Amino acid sequence: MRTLEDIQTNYLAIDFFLTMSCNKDCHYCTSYTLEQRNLTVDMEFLKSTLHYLRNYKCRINLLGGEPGLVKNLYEVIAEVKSNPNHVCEVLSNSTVRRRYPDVLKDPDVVYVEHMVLDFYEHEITKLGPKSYEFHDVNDMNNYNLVIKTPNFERYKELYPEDMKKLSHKNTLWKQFNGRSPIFHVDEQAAEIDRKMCAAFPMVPVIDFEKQHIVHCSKKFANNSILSKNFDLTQENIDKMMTFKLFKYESYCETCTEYVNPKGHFPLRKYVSLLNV
Amino acid sequence: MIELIRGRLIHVDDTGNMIEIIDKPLTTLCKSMEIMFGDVTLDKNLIEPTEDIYDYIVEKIYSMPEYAYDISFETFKQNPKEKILIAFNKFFFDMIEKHENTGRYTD
Repeated sequence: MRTLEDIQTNYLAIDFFLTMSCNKDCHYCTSYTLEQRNLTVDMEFLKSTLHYLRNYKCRINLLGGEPGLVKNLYEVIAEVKSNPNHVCEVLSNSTVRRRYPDVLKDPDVVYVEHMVLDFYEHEITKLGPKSYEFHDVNDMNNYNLVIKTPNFERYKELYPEDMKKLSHKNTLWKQFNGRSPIFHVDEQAAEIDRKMCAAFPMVPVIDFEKQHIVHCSKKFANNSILSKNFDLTQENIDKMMTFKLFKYESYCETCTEYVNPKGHFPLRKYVSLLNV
Repeated sequence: MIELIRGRLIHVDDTGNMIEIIDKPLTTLCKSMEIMFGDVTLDKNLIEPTEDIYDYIVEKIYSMPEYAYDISFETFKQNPKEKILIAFNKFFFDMIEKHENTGRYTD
């Protein structure tokens, strides 16, 4: 079993947007639709994509929308896991826990559960059933993901018990990204960090609906300027994985997405991959 | 010719006169490179086109010197090592030229 630290350090992440459909409507999310569509992953397209990526160490993030809505998710996971260079990660709002419980029992699949919608004065609103507890410390690679929204900063003191349950190695804290029109952005990364992000963004996307490569997952939908996209070919994948495909674009200059100045860009990860 | 001598950037002219270049961030960058590579080569002739990512890495180490400590020399494969050195030289001589033009080193 690979540890999360090993994965984050040595593997470049690639998002697979399997479907845009989601059963929730988080106020800070833009890459979803409530329309239920494309719920069966085209296995031929998946196989060819993974084939192009076969020689690269990468972390395949199965996302959407909500991957738990995908009808052949077990099949998709099995296919991703079949290559030892690839690590499979699933990010879900807990629908996967309900529909595909075996994913949580597999330590080779990194399961990240984005269960907290937000912190409010009277409660912590959960995306899944209230009976679902946060993941406790475990060696099964199951993680809680909590976004540090402005409300989190405001009300976290009101929930000492929940904070205690979340304060361990199996909780990932994500910086609030300012995508919501309600909140303003408090922090912005230095320009050089955004340039590095542009060279290999955090993270590029394979769009399974349109079947192409998307430069930036943050300019994916509902933005006035959308991300550049590229045909899914072996040549483009090779260029992408060797940092030759993506450039600093005009939308990078105005990006309000917070980029972690250091953690997202460990130099070790870059140099071990630059000479594939 | 510019050399890094005992952690100081020294400009040696044709007659052998040595003038120290006082530029703390640039000297720190050279030291970071020395830590990463064991030795630094300052040579304008090394400069050739490289991918942007190498320039960004050098620029990042310039703005955040501790970034260089993320990595040890052993982790580099030959090719990125060369390319980062090229990008470093490009950055270094750009800075020197920029400061020469402003008269910073010659006053």
